[in-house]
Amino acid sequence: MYLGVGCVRLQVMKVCGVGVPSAEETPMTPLPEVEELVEAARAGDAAAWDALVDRYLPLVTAVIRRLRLSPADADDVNQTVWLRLVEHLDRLREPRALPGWLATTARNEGLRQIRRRARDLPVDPGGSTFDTAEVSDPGQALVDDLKSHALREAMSELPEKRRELLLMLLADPPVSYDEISARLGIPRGSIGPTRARALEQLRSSRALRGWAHEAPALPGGGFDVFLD
Amino acid sequence: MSSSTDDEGLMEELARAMGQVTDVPDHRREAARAAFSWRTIDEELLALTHDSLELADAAVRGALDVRTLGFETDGLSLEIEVDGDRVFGQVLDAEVDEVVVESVDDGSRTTPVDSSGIFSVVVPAGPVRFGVRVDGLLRRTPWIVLVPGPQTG
Repeated sequence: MYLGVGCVRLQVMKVCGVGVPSAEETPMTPLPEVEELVEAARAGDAAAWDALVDRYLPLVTAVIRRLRLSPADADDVNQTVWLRLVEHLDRLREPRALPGWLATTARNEGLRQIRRRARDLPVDPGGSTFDTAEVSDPGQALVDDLKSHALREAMSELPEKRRELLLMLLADPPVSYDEISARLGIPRGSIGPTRARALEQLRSSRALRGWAHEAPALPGGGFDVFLD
Repeated sequence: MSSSTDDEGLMEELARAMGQVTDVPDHRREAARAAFSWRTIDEELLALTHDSLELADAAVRGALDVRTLGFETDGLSLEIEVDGDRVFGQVLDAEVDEVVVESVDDGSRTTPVDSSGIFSVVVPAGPVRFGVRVDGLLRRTPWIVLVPGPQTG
Protein backbone atom coordinates (compact mmCIF):
# COMPACT_ATOMS: atom_id res chain seq x y z
CA MET A 1 0.00 0.00 0.00
CA TYR A 2 0.95 3.60 -0.44
CA LEU A 3 2.33 4.23 2.99
CA GLY A 4 4.62 1.29 2.53
CA VAL A 5 7.46 3.60 1.63
CA GLY A 6 7.60 5.01 5.13
CA CYS A 7 7.13 1.52 6.45
CA VAL A 8 10.15 0.23 4.58
CA ARG A 9 12.23 2.88 6.28
CA LEU A 10 10.73 2.04 9.62
CA GLN A 11 11.46 -1.61 9.01
CA VAL A 12 15.11 -0.74 9.01
CA MET A 13 14.55 0.63 12.50
CA LYS A 14 12.66 -2.56 13.46
CA VAL A 15 9.45 -0.83 14.49
CA CYS A 16 7.40 -1.39 11.38
CA GLY A 17 3.74 -2.27 11.63
CA VAL A 18 3.42 -2.15 15.41
CA GLY A 19 1.73 0.78 17.06
CA VAL A 20 4.21 1.97 19.62
CA PRO A 21 2.20 3.31 22.60
CA SER A 22 3.94 6.68 22.60
CA ALA A 23 3.57 7.06 18.85
CA GLU A 24 0.69 9.51 18.95
CA GLU A 25 2.74 12.61 19.46
CA THR A 26 5.82 11.31 17.65
CA PRO A 27 5.79 12.01 13.94
CA MET A 28 6.70 8.97 11.91
CA THR A 29 9.92 9.04 9.98
CA PRO A 30 9.05 11.37 7.12
CA LEU A 31 8.92 9.97 3.61
CA PRO A 32 12.23 10.26 1.85
CA GLU A 33 12.39 13.40 -0.25
CA VAL A 34 11.56 12.91 -3.90
CA GLU A 35 15.00 14.29 -4.71
CA GLU A 36 16.67 11.52 -2.69
CA LEU A 37 14.68 8.80 -4.42
CA VAL A 38 15.30 10.22 -7.89
CA GLU A 39 19.01 10.57 -7.12
CA ALA A 40 19.22 6.97 -5.87
CA ALA A 41 17.26 5.64 -8.86
CA ARG A 42 19.62 7.51 -11.19
CA ALA A 43 22.45 5.67 -9.50
CA GLY A 44 20.72 2.37 -10.31
CA ASP A 45 18.99 1.69 -6.97
CA ALA A 46 15.98 -0.50 -7.83
CA ALA A 47 14.50 -0.17 -4.32
CA ALA A 48 14.39 3.62 -4.76
CA TRP A 49 12.63 3.12 -8.09
CA ASP A 50 10.08 0.80 -6.43
CA ALA A 51 9.50 3.48 -3.79
CA LEU A 52 8.86 6.07 -6.53
CA VAL A 53 6.40 3.66 -8.16
CA ASP A 54 4.56 3.03 -4.87
CA ARG A 55 4.35 6.74 -4.22
CA TYR A 56 3.03 7.86 -7.61
CA LEU A 57 1.19 4.82 -8.99
CA PRO A 58 -2.18 5.76 -7.39
CA LEU A 59 -1.95 9.16 -9.12
CA VAL A 60 -1.09 7.66 -12.51
CA THR A 61 -3.83 5.04 -12.13
CA ALA A 62 -6.43 7.68 -11.23
CA VAL A 63 -5.54 9.83 -14.25
CA ILE A 64 -5.70 6.84 -16.62
CA ARG A 65 -8.97 5.64 -15.11
CA ARG A 66 -10.71 8.90 -15.97
CA LEU A 67 -10.12 8.25 -19.66
CA ARG A 68 -12.11 4.98 -19.54
CA LEU A 69 -9.73 3.10 -21.81
CA SER A 70 -10.01 -0.62 -22.46
CA PRO A 71 -8.01 -2.68 -19.94
CA ALA A 72 -5.36 -3.46 -22.60
CA ASP A 73 -5.00 0.20 -23.59
CA ALA A 74 -4.88 1.31 -19.95
CA ASP A 75 -2.10 -1.21 -19.28
CA ASP A 76 -0.16 0.05 -22.30
CA VAL A 77 -0.48 3.64 -21.14
CA ASN A 78 0.62 2.75 -17.62
CA GLN A 79 3.64 0.86 -18.92
CA THR A 80 4.54 3.67 -21.33
CA VAL A 81 4.37 6.30 -18.57
CA TRP A 82 6.84 4.42 -16.35
CA LEU A 83 9.16 3.59 -19.24
CA ARG A 84 9.14 7.29 -20.14
CA LEU A 85 10.01 8.20 -16.57
CA VAL A 86 12.90 5.73 -16.62
CA GLU A 87 14.28 7.36 -19.76
CA HIS A 88 13.53 10.82 -18.37
CA LEU A 89 15.22 10.32 -14.97
CA ASP A 90 18.52 11.90 -15.96
CA ARG A 91 16.76 14.89 -17.51
CA LEU A 92 14.40 15.54 -14.63
CA ARG A 93 15.48 19.01 -13.50
CA GLU A 94 12.88 19.57 -10.84
CA PRO A 95 11.86 16.38 -9.00
CA ARG A 96 9.12 18.31 -7.16
CA ALA A 97 7.34 18.72 -10.48
CA LEU A 98 7.19 14.93 -10.82
CA PRO A 99 3.48 14.50 -9.90
CA GLY A 100 2.52 17.04 -12.56
CA TRP A 101 4.86 15.49 -15.12
CA LEU A 102 3.46 12.00 -14.49
CA ALA A 103 -0.18 13.12 -14.55
CA THR A 104 0.34 15.06 -17.77
CA THR A 105 2.28 12.25 -19.47
CA ALA A 106 -0.39 9.68 -18.49
CA ARG A 107 -3.15 11.89 -19.82
CA ASN A 108 -1.38 12.66 -23.10
CA GLU A 109 -0.56 9.00 -23.74
CA GLY A 110 -4.14 8.04 -22.90
CA LEU A 111 -5.48 10.59 -25.38
CA ARG A 112 -3.10 9.21 -28.00
CA GLN A 113 -4.61 5.73 -27.48
CA ILE A 114 -8.10 7.16 -27.83
CA ARG A 115 -7.14 8.80 -31.13
CA ARG A 116 -5.57 5.58 -32.39
CA ARG A 117 -8.75 3.66 -31.60
CA ALA A 118 -10.84 6.37 -33.23
CA ARG A 119 -8.79 6.08 -36.40
CA ASP A 120 -9.51 2.34 -36.53
CA LEU A 121 -13.23 3.04 -36.61
CA PRO A 122 -15.11 4.07 -39.72
CA VAL A 123 -15.61 7.82 -39.78
CA ASP A 124 -19.19 8.84 -39.20
CA PRO A 125 -19.56 12.18 -41.00
CA GLY A 126 -22.73 13.05 -39.10
CA GLY A 127 -21.63 12.02 -35.63
CA SER A 128 -19.06 13.13 -33.18
CA THR A 129 -15.63 11.81 -34.06
CA PHE A 130 -14.99 10.10 -30.77
CA ASP A 131 -16.14 10.15 -27.22
CA THR A 132 -13.41 10.54 -24.68
CA ALA A 133 -15.92 9.81 -21.92
CA GLU A 134 -14.23 12.54 -19.97
CA VAL A 135 -15.52 14.95 -17.42
CA SER A 136 -16.34 18.35 -18.85
CA ASP A 137 -13.29 20.02 -17.38
CA PRO A 138 -10.14 17.90 -17.85
CA GLY A 139 -7.93 20.61 -16.35
CA GLN A 140 -9.96 20.52 -13.15
CA ALA A 141 -9.81 16.70 -13.15
CA LEU A 142 -6.00 16.85 -13.18
CA VAL A 143 -6.03 19.40 -10.37
CA ASP A 144 -8.34 17.11 -8.33
CA ASP A 145 -6.08 14.10 -8.87
CA LEU A 146 -2.99 16.11 -7.91
CA LYS A 147 -4.76 17.32 -4.79
CA SER A 148 -5.58 13.73 -3.84
CA HIS A 149 -1.90 12.94 -4.26
CA ALA A 150 -0.98 15.86 -1.96
CA LEU A 151 -3.46 14.54 0.63
CA ARG A 152 -1.79 11.12 0.59
CA GLU A 153 1.58 12.77 1.12
CA ALA A 154 0.04 14.81 3.95
CA MET A 155 -1.29 11.63 5.58
CA SER A 156 2.22 10.21 5.64
CA GLU A 157 3.35 13.21 7.69
CA LEU A 158 0.92 12.43 10.52
CA PRO A 159 1.95 10.54 13.64
CA GLU A 160 1.09 6.88 13.20
CA LYS A 161 -1.83 6.78 15.64
CA ARG A 162 -3.55 9.78 14.15
CA ARG A 163 -3.16 8.37 10.66
CA GLU A 164 -4.48 5.00 11.85
CA LEU A 165 -7.48 6.71 13.39
CA LEU A 166 -8.34 8.55 10.18
CA LEU A 167 -7.94 5.37 8.12
CA MET A 168 -10.27 3.47 10.48
CA LEU A 169 -12.83 6.27 10.31
CA LEU A 170 -12.66 6.11 6.51
CA ALA A 171 -12.91 2.32 6.37
CA ASP A 172 -15.73 0.73 4.44
CA PRO A 173 -17.43 -1.14 6.03
CA PRO A 174 -17.05 1.21 9.01
CA VAL A 175 -15.03 0.26 12.07
CA SER A 176 -17.02 0.74 15.28
CA TYR A 177 -15.93 3.28 17.87
CA ASP A 178 -15.52 0.42 20.36
CA GLU A 179 -13.10 -1.32 18.06
CA ILE A 180 -11.20 1.88 17.30
CA SER A 181 -10.97 2.51 21.02
CA ALA A 182 -9.64 -1.01 21.63
CA ARG A 183 -7.19 -1.00 18.73
CA LEU A 184 -5.70 2.41 19.46
CA GLY A 185 -5.97 2.17 23.25
CA ILE A 186 -7.79 5.48 23.54
CA PRO A 187 -11.16 6.15 25.25
CA ARG A 188 -14.20 6.33 22.96
CA GLY A 189 -14.79 9.88 24.09
CA SER A 190 -11.47 11.09 22.75
CA ILE A 191 -11.99 9.73 19.22
CA GLY A 192 -13.85 12.85 18.07
CA PRO A 193 -11.35 15.35 19.50
CA THR A 194 -8.42 13.26 18.20
CA ARG A 195 -9.97 13.24 14.74
CA ALA A 196 -10.33 17.03 14.86
CA ARG A 197 -6.67 17.40 15.89
CA ALA A 198 -5.55 14.99 13.18
CA LEU A 199 -7.43 16.92 10.49
CA GLU A 200 -6.04 20.19 11.79
CA GLN A 201 -2.53 18.74 11.60
CA LEU A 202 -3.28 17.52 8.09
CA ARG A 203 -4.27 21.04 7.02
CA SER A 204 -1.01 22.45 8.28
CA SER A 205 1.11 19.61 6.85
CA ARG A 206 4.00 20.44 4.59
CA ALA A 207 2.36 18.60 1.66
CA LEU A 208 -0.90 20.57 1.88
CA ARG A 209 0.80 23.88 2.51
CA GLY A 210 2.93 23.19 -0.55
CA TRP A 211 -0.22 22.36 -2.44
CA ALA A 212 -1.94 25.59 -1.38
CA HIS A 213 1.14 27.39 -2.66
CA GLU A 214 1.17 25.62 -6.04
CA ALA A 215 -2.52 25.16 -6.81
CA PRO A 216 -3.24 28.78 -7.84
CA ALA A 217 -0.58 28.36 -10.54
CA LEU A 218 -2.45 25.41 -12.00
CA PRO A 219 -5.26 26.77 -14.13
CA GLY A 220 -7.23 24.12 -15.99
CA GLY A 221 -5.34 23.11 -19.08
CA GLY A 222 -2.24 25.05 -18.13
CA PHE A 223 -0.20 21.92 -17.59
CA ASP A 224 2.35 22.64 -20.28
CA VAL A 225 4.62 23.92 -17.54
CA PHE A 226 5.30 20.31 -16.58
CA LEU A 227 6.40 19.23 -20.00
CA ASP A 228 10.04 19.35 -20.90
CA MET B 1 -11.56 27.86 12.56
CA SER B 2 -12.41 24.36 11.38
CA SER B 3 -16.15 23.97 11.42
CA SER B 4 -17.52 20.44 11.35
CA THR B 5 -18.56 21.03 7.73
CA ASP B 6 -14.93 21.66 6.84
CA ASP B 7 -13.94 18.47 8.62
CA GLU B 8 -16.58 16.46 6.76
CA GLY B 9 -15.44 17.88 3.45
CA LEU B 10 -11.85 17.03 4.22
CA MET B 11 -12.83 13.50 5.24
CA GLU B 12 -14.59 13.08 1.89
CA GLU B 13 -11.51 14.25 0.02
CA LEU B 14 -9.41 11.89 2.11
CA ALA B 15 -11.74 8.98 1.34
CA ARG B 16 -11.31 9.65 -2.38
CA ALA B 17 -7.52 10.05 -2.07
CA MET B 18 -7.03 6.87 -0.05
CA GLY B 19 -9.49 4.97 -2.26
CA GLN B 20 -7.18 5.63 -5.21
CA VAL B 21 -4.52 3.58 -3.42
CA THR B 22 -6.67 0.46 -3.27
CA ASP B 23 -7.74 1.02 -6.89
CA VAL B 24 -4.26 0.12 -8.19
CA PRO B 25 -4.24 -3.33 -9.83
CA ASP B 26 -1.25 -5.50 -8.85
CA HIS B 27 -0.18 -6.14 -12.44
CA ARG B 28 0.14 -2.38 -13.02
CA ARG B 29 2.52 -2.14 -10.07
CA GLU B 30 4.56 -5.06 -11.43
CA ALA B 31 4.73 -3.48 -14.89
CA ALA B 32 5.76 -0.12 -13.40
CA ARG B 33 8.51 -1.71 -11.31
CA ALA B 34 9.77 -3.80 -14.23
CA ALA B 35 10.17 -0.66 -16.36
CA PHE B 36 13.36 0.10 -14.42
CA SER B 37 15.19 -2.78 -16.12
CA TRP B 38 15.04 -0.73 -19.36
CA ARG B 39 17.09 2.07 -17.92
CA THR B 40 19.92 3.28 -20.12
CA ILE B 41 22.38 5.88 -18.96
CA ASP B 42 21.93 9.43 -20.17
CA GLU B 43 21.73 8.90 -23.90
CA GLU B 44 20.75 11.33 -26.55
CA LEU B 45 17.15 10.75 -27.59
CA LEU B 46 15.69 10.75 -31.06
CA ALA B 47 12.91 13.16 -30.18
CA LEU B 48 9.42 12.75 -31.60
CA THR B 49 8.83 15.54 -34.11
CA HIS B 50 5.49 14.48 -35.49
CA ASP B 51 2.81 11.84 -35.11
CA SER B 52 -0.08 11.82 -37.57
CA LEU B 53 -2.36 10.92 -34.65
CA GLU B 54 -1.77 14.44 -33.39
CA LEU B 55 -3.39 16.01 -36.44
CA ALA B 56 -6.08 18.34 -35.21
CA ASP B 57 -8.61 17.32 -37.82
CA ALA B 58 -10.04 13.97 -36.77
CA ALA B 59 -11.72 13.43 -40.16
CA VAL B 60 -8.40 13.78 -41.98
CA ARG B 61 -6.81 11.55 -39.38
CA GLY B 62 -9.48 8.93 -39.92
CA ALA B 63 -8.98 9.06 -43.68
CA LEU B 64 -5.30 8.17 -43.43
CA ASP B 65 -4.64 4.48 -43.83
CA VAL B 66 -1.26 4.60 -42.21
CA ARG B 67 0.06 6.35 -39.16
CA THR B 68 3.31 8.22 -39.72
CA LEU B 69 5.79 9.33 -37.09
CA GLY B 70 9.01 11.30 -37.31
CA PHE B 71 11.95 11.39 -34.90
CA GLU B 72 14.95 13.64 -35.01
CA THR B 73 18.18 14.57 -33.35
CA ASP B 74 21.27 16.46 -34.55
CA GLY B 75 22.03 15.35 -38.08
CA LEU B 76 19.82 12.27 -37.98
CA SER B 77 16.17 11.57 -38.54
CA LEU B 78 13.93 8.53 -38.59
CA GLU B 79 10.58 8.31 -40.34
CA ILE B 80 8.25 5.43 -39.68
CA GLU B 81 4.91 4.33 -41.11
CA VAL B 82 2.62 1.94 -39.32
CA ASP B 83 0.43 -0.16 -41.61
CA GLY B 84 -1.51 -2.81 -39.73
CA ASP B 85 1.02 -4.68 -37.64
CA ARG B 86 3.95 -3.81 -39.94
CA VAL B 87 6.28 -0.88 -39.64
CA PHE B 88 8.27 0.56 -42.51
CA GLY B 89 11.08 2.84 -41.49
CA GLN B 90 13.76 4.96 -43.08
CA VAL B 91 16.80 6.52 -41.49
CA LEU B 92 17.65 9.77 -43.24
CA ASP B 93 20.74 11.96 -43.36
CA ALA B 94 23.13 9.31 -42.06
CA GLU B 95 24.74 6.02 -42.92
CA VAL B 96 23.19 3.62 -40.48
CA ASP B 97 25.02 0.63 -38.98
CA GLU B 98 21.94 -1.06 -37.55
CA VAL B 99 18.41 -0.54 -36.28
CA VAL B 100 17.33 -2.14 -33.00
CA VAL B 101 13.66 -2.70 -32.16
CA GLU B 102 13.05 -2.95 -28.42
CA SER B 103 9.85 -4.29 -26.93
CA VAL B 104 8.86 -4.90 -23.33
CA ASP B 105 7.15 -8.13 -24.39
CA ASP B 106 9.64 -9.41 -26.96
CA GLY B 107 12.99 -7.98 -25.91
CA SER B 108 15.53 -6.40 -28.28
CA ARG B 109 16.27 -7.44 -31.80
CA THR B 110 18.37 -6.07 -34.57
CA THR B 111 16.79 -5.68 -37.96
CA PRO B 112 18.48 -5.50 -41.38
CA VAL B 113 18.65 -2.08 -43.06
CA ASP B 114 19.22 -1.63 -46.80
CA SER B 115 21.61 0.84 -48.38
CA SER B 116 18.91 3.53 -48.47
CA GLY B 117 18.39 3.21 -44.74
CA ILE B 118 15.07 1.42 -45.18
CA PHE B 119 13.85 -1.39 -42.93
CA SER B 120 10.60 -3.24 -42.29
CA VAL B 121 9.52 -5.21 -39.22
CA VAL B 122 6.43 -6.72 -37.66
CA VAL B 123 5.74 -4.44 -34.73
CA PRO B 124 5.58 -6.11 -31.34
CA ALA B 125 2.50 -5.30 -29.28
CA GLY B 126 2.67 -2.82 -26.41
CA PRO B 127 5.33 -0.15 -25.85
CA VAL B 128 8.26 -0.25 -28.31
CA ARG B 129 11.19 1.98 -29.15
CA PHE B 130 13.65 2.09 -31.99
CA GLY B 131 17.39 2.46 -31.68
CA VAL B 132 19.47 3.73 -34.59
CA ARG B 133 23.21 3.09 -34.50
CA VAL B 134 25.32 5.51 -36.50
CA ASP B 135 29.11 5.67 -36.13
CA GLY B 136 28.85 3.25 -33.23
CA LEU B 137 26.51 5.50 -31.26
CA LEU B 138 23.03 4.14 -30.49
CA ARG B 139 20.30 6.74 -30.27
CA ARG B 140 16.81 5.73 -29.24
CA THR B 141 13.30 7.04 -29.74
CA PRO B 142 10.99 7.48 -26.76
CA TRP B 143 8.73 4.55 -25.89
CA ILE B 144 5.56 4.56 -27.94
CA VAL B 145 2.61 2.22 -28.48
CA LEU B 146 2.06 1.34 -32.14
CA VAL B 147 -0.01 -1.83 -31.79
CA PRO B 148 -2.19 -2.43 -28.72
CA GLY B 149 -1.01 -5.01 -26.23
CA PRO B 150 -2.81 -8.23 -25.35
CA GLN B 151 -6.02 -7.97 -23.37
CA THR B 152 -5.23 -8.41 -19.69
CA GLY B 153 -6.94 -7.85 -16.32
